[in-house]
Amino acid sequence: MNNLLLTMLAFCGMFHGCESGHEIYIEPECNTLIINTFTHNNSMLTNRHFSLKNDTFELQSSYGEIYNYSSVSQSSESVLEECTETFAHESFSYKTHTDDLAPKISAGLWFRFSDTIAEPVLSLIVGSFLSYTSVNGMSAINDNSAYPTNNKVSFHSSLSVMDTTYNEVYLIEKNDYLEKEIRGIVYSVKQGILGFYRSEEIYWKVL
Amino acid sequence: MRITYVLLLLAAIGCEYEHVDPCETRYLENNYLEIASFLDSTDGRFTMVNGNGRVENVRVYREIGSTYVPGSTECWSYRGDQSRLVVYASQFDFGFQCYFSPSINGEILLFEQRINNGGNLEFKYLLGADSLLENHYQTYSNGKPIYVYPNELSVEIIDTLTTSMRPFYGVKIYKNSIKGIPMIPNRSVASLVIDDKFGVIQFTTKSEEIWDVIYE
Repeated sequence: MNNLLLTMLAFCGMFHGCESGHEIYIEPECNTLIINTFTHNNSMLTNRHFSLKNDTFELQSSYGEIYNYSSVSQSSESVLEECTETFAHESFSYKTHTDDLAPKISAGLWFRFSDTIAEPVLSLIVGSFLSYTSVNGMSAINDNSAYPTNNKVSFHSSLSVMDTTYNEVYLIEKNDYLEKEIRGIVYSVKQGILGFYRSEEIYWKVL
Repeated sequence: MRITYVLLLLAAIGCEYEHVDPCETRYLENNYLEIASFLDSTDGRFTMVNGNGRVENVRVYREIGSTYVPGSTECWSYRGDQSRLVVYASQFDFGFQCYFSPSINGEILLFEQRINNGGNLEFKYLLGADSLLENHYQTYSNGKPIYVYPNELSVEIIDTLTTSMRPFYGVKIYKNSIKGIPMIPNRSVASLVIDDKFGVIQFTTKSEEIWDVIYE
């Protein structure tokens, strides 16, 4: 009788003790109602970063080194929340690739939301320099909670920098740059990133 | 007798008791463990300078961990300490790492460089025996892996090497014959100089940029 009891206990243990239970979650059915779609201004989509064309370009450093880059420009559309009345918005991403030991470069165009207000944002990453710029008015956004920055943006009808004079460009600068970091990016709405510099002597220009 | 039944029953339904390894563990020596021992994983921000005098930030850090080597031909388990030295420049998304890892046949230098197009350059060198074990570059084409095998990896001792940091004596240079292989990107490391105290003190890319690592 005792042997039978032990056997029963062991089988109970097999089914209850050795089992790893999983609960199955069933996604509730829902319909997403898009009440508005936010798209970017065409003027921003003419430059090389957001034209949705693959591209190649060269970067020349102030030391005379020339680096080759290739790039991919893509767009996507997403919604703010599923299963509720919501907003669709388009995003652009621009990623570069270089086989050389040269600064990494990427860019993005997207929206950030405050309640129902959508603000178009331009993000640029060059080396370790990260910047967010509000496309409405082209001012620096420094309060991104995940990646806070301390930058400023200024417009120049004529700007002499990197041994070159540029017309109709924005200068995106770091307020608290460290030595050996990228300090400023020269950006044209029509052409995209034109170059970036660390100091008067050390810079990289897009050819 | 009842306990025996229970044990047999439990074994039959798959709930095994704690595994007891009948083999003892032998500890493998590691002569290269002290390389770059002045570094720790949180304080490794240095600079590197290239042949044009351009100075860049670089992070160099190391980690120490134990590794187990299963004994396949005899009833022993092996354990040893492995050190990993990482050189990384975030502004370029460029980096590589060296493992100094014990094995039954002696210590191995494993060099690994992951390159941002999905490629991976790797060689394994048996340090004590001066013997190359593995050397390849791997990338993908249409989702399938492609391997390229450089012809030669030579190792020489340089009596005196003066970098931008200071002179070094009796350092080893590992030269990989990747220059003539178009598939391998320019940013791949073609040669690597390792000092017994500091670790990586100089490297040269396939495009012949020479970078000195400055530990100051």
